Amino acid sequence: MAMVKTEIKQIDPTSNGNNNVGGDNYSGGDNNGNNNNDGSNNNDKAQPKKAKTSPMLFLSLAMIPIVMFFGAIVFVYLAHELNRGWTPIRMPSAIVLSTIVLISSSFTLEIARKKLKAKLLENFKQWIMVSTFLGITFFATQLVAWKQLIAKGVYMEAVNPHATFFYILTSAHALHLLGGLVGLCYVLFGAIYYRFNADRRSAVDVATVYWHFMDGLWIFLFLLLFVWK
Amino acid sequence: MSKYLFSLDHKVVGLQYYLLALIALVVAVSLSVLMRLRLTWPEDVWPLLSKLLPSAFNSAGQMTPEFYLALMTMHGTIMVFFVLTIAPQAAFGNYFLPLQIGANKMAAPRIGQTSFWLTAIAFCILIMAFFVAGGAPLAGWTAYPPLSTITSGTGHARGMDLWLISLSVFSFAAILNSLNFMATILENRASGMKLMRMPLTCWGWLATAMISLLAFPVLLAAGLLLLLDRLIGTDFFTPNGMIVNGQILELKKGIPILWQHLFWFFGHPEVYLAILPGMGVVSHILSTFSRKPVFGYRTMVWATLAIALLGFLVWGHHMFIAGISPYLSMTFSFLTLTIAIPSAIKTLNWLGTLWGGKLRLATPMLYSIGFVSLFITGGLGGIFLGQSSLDIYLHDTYFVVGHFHLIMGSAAIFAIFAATAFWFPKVFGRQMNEDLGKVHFFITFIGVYAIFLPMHFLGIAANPRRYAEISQFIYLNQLQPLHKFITIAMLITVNVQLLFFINLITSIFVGKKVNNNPWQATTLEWTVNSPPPENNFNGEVPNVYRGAYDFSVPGATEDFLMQTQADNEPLVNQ
Repeated sequence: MAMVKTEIKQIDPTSNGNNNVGGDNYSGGDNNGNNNNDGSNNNDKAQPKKAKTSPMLFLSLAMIPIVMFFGAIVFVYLAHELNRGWTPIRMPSAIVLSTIVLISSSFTLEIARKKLKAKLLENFKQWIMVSTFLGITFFATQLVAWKQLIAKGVYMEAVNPHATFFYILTSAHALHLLGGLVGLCYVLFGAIYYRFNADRRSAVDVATVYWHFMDGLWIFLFLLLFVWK
Repeated sequence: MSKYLFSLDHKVVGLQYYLLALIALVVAVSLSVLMRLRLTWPEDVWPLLSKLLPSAFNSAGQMTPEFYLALMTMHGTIMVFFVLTIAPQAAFGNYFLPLQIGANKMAAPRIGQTSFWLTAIAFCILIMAFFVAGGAPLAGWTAYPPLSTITSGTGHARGMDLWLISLSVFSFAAILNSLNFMATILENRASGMKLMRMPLTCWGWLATAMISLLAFPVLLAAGLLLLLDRLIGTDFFTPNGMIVNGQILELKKGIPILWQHLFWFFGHPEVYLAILPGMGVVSHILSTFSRKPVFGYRTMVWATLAIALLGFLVWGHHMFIAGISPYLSMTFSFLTLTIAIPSAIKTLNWLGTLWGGKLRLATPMLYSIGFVSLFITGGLGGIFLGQSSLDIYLHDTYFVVGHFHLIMGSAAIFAIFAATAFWFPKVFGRQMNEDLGKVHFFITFIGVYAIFLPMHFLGIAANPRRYAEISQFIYLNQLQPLHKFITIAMLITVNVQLLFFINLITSIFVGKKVNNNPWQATTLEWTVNSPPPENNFNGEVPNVYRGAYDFSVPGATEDFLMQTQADNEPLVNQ
């Protein structure tokens, strides 16, 4: 059994270096509840802790400021709508396509994730490719929608605030979705080179959850801009 | 070189932030000196400065009122953001959070490094505002429209756009940094470091990170919308019918008060952001130097979280006379006064920590006691202002200026001084000079009271704020001697800060060398070398067995037990 040495030491603040009675040259903390000298193991010795940075935690935290950011813009939107009212612009037809494409891409991405969990790596790769393709298509449909508006002479400036908000909200959403697309491309490359499997899929999970989050945000914006009266 | 410039070591990031905050402090204090000189002696001529910035001075060489307002804007902006949001949280937090929770690094070192450089870039963008056509913006750090929507003229032009861009970049960087802090605290604590064993410094950083995540995005959104108003003529905030440079701006239907709601929804939590880490440091130091546990540790934690939460519910108290409904004012007033409760709890707990302790009056302790004093005095002013009926009179007077300068310009700065003196030995292995520190403390302590306490009287005497001079108003002329007193007190106090800088810089090289735990503190950072090795705990992370404030535990031989100590056996203490 380890003998615990009782030692009463006057602390001398002016002495240099470690006041290290134990005599070992362990330069970190040596108050480990067991006596280092005989290395007894009568309790938990400090284990080197692998710093686990869970990406999913980061994503959950990051979603908070994103919600607040869009919430602030929506707050301005509602304040203006209630205060001055406007004639809403007619929804560019490409928006319908955008919505369908984005919702589909969420579905395909979720299918991809399930395939990965079921260890069907080929299927996973294919569904990821479909999702990425749909994701890029979403951006294309957004551009088409913008072009449809500009063709009708509806710009961003203050003539019709509904138009201004449309441009602002869709561009903010597109910017955030672009980050999601970068993540999706990362997953795509990982899928192509078989870097993921059922146990190594935190990047896939994170990219998927973020994509769903952006999809949900899009649905909310769509309802706000074109459905809610 | 790039090892230090772009280091992933959280300690380097912390020091980078600290250096940025010091530079910002010097700049902002200089601006305030210029302000007070202009205010006290409005007719004075400025030969040197008028050569450097000719547009800021009239033909006789006197400072224009517009430049005074620009100084005021930049002083406020730099202080609030680049000193008080950075130093307590990003500087000390990045350096000491991992050490105090027993982690080898932050959760995302790359994010930490990126957020520092984004912040530094934001600072440069802001300073550029002085040197573009039209000069620095003059709309106040609050940037209310419609004043802030004007796009041409001195103080309105590119400088205002740069201000908005700078703060947008800053907001983004702050959000990144907060993500890093939250993830680190939630996931990287050593085994045994339960949340309720964390030092109160860490709780301060946690609460502040939570506030940042919720508040800064709103500032970011509002700033971008205001920028759009200015750049492409949208009308989120720009009202109809303004006459600018003889021209009527029509067809705008913006809502100026909407900006106020958004800004203060961010702005009020922002000030709690500035004070909460300082409160954590003060709790920590008071306990360490009283050789007593923090009085009511658990209550302190809940009070901190309560202040953080309630801080989001009171933004309207900045808008009592902005035209909001009196019923809304009543609600905000009530909620504002409820914040006094957790604040008072904390204050009483500090006093309770000191009471009956074996006080060691080293400089960190002196600064911390000074913090408590300044916080009480400044906080009492807040109780006046929080009542909407009184605020009708006191709003936009010097009473408000005195109030927030006692809390933010004095108490929060004292917390920074305290933290610097306290942790200096860990960063450099040497102690700051105690004699210089004591002189600095006493003169600064008296000095800030001499500067900011009279401002409450000025406010009650109806002295408005943000005026470049008061000599043209008969009812204010009689206050000029008090302004002179304040300015002289300020000049002395500002000069005494040289002592702090001299102390800080020379102690790095010739300060008294000390061992790893000169203050005989209990927390984990004092178990490692000074300065800590690059990976903090040399690959072996300590086990934590007790809370952070086990001082004077009955039965123990020493009057402190480090967090890594398993039982009351008088094992080796450093």
